[in-house]
Amino acid sequence: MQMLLNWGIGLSNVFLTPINLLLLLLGTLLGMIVGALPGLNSPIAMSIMIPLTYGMDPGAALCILAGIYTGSTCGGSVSSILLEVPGTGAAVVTAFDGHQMYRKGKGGLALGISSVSSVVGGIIAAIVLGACAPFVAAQALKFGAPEYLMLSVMGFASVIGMSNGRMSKNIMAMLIGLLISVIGISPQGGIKRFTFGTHALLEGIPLVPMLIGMFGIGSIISAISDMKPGKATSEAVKQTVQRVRMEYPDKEMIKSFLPIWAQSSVIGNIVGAIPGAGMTVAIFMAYDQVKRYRTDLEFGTGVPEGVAAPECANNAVVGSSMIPLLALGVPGNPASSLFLGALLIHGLRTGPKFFVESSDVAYTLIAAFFAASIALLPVMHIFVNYMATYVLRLRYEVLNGLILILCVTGAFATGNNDSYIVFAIVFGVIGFVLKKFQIPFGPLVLATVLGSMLESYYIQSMVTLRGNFSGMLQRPICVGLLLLSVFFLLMPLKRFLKKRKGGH
Amino acid sequence: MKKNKYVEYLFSLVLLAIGAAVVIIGKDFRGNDKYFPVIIGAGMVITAVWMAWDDRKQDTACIDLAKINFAAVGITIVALAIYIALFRLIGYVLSTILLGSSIILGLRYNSLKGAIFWPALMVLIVFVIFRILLKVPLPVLLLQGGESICRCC
Repeated sequence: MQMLLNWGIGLSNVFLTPINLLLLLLGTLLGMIVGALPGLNSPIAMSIMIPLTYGMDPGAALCILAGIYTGSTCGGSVSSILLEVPGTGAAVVTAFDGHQMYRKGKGGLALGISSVSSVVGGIIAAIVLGACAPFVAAQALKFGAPEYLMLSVMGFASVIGMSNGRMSKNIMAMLIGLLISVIGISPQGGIKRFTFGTHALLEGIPLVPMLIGMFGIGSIISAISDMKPGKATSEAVKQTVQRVRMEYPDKEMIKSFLPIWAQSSVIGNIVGAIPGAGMTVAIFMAYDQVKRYRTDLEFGTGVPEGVAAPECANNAVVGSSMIPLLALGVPGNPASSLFLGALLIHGLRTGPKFFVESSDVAYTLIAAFFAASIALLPVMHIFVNYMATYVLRLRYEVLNGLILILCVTGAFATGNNDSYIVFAIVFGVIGFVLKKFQIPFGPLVLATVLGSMLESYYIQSMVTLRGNFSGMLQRPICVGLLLLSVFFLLMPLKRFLKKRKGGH
Repeated sequence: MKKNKYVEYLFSLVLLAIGAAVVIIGKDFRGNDKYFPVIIGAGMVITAVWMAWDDRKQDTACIDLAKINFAAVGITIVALAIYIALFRLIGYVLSTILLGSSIILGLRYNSLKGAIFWPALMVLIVFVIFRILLKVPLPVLLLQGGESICRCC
């Protein structure tokens, strides 16, 4: 009953508060524009938008950010389908069949399927988020310091076990994040660590300028570095796309999509809830599953099911990736760490007590994801029919310059302090270098947030357990989390053995 | 090709050096405050060696130096460094317009008017939102007078 009441409060905060609804729609459109532009993604848009939310009510701030996150995930499919260039990593798989459909003159239908599938995935994920997060948070209220310590360990284990790419680079990213987290005054002895006599480092590295730097400024430097000498960027990125009009799947098609949406939403929700797993894992898994389910179809040749599955899965990840953040205070991916940054600006901290102390804000965020998923359909319709072709022709030189202006202004506004601009620029350069050497940002950001938590809970656990760590094994939740950590750590071994078996 | 591989090894070496420095600095911290930095530093050293070992097994390097426009990156970083200095000297409005214009021109946008107009318009919009609506004290020294608000030095 209480949950229904909270849902009602959240939904009324979104649907019955005109400014929140307007910001949500604006955020969804902005997210779609950003998502459609290759090279830009939701963390960039969100990081420059966070300082703008500074003077807003927390609910309004979360509405615009939820809109951006949801919109950009769906918007990535536009350039994937029209240009075969994924706007975001979440739309990589959509290009396989989506662009083939476009080449066969069914681009409008591909975009229609993409938006309807995103709506389905998004709505289901918002409901799952609303049902699971408060439940997990209620269980987590029973957690003591040892449980939180094991939770942090599990977060790291899932990053190592579930991430894509080379494990050595994932672990290095995590260690860099941990190193960043120990800068400043230590939580126990109060001594200065790695501050090098700089006052600005005493409080540690501020999260939002760091994210603005890594995602915003880093991407701009990266775009500049890709520029060919003596050639204008606009020539390199000039795209010519035919204007398309959105077409929606008919009743029969929707009926055939139902089982695909069901399995893709399950995949998206499960993968999204695991810290560090990310959207790419979910979309490939969903695509793989639909290929197994529909063996009668030739995927990669313009099959509508090949668009429906990944688009449903990626929007399912959006909502479910908020479960660890809202319930446990652990950001599962870069986008959710930006939500954490936005909430910190408003003096709010996620975690088990979030649903007790700020339940209205928590349910407003859940309702915002629900509303943004519904809003995807009309916003995508307007975007595809009237704006997409113009957006895809935007001049990147101007766009990068303007984003940089927003980045430096946003960094300053976070703390009304010009040292925050310095932080953003330094992390922009670091982000650029790490990107070039393919060090992933996700584990780094997660470790930065979890690092301080890990150290504090380690100290508290030592006190609680009187220095006897075997006491952890007498705590059932700790044992459960430990087993989960072992499970995640064994995942790469499983992949390795599978690969080896396949090789033979 | 070989150069790319060497740079990849060099990157691992830099990370190894950072890890070693973290261990050396960290072990001097008092009491329990030293454990985490030392563990992190040692982890970085081990992982850097692991990364180099992985690099050795890969046929191609993850980085392609030929595709990086070092001159443009250098100019951008210098422009950002100058921006920080100018921000303190001439305030937000002018320095940010200059930064935006220089980046747009640096990316070889072919219209000087556009390169000045778009950043100026963006700064104006952002200024109105932050300074007037959100009451963020963006420094506007040359336009309004006042003192620098540098707090980091």
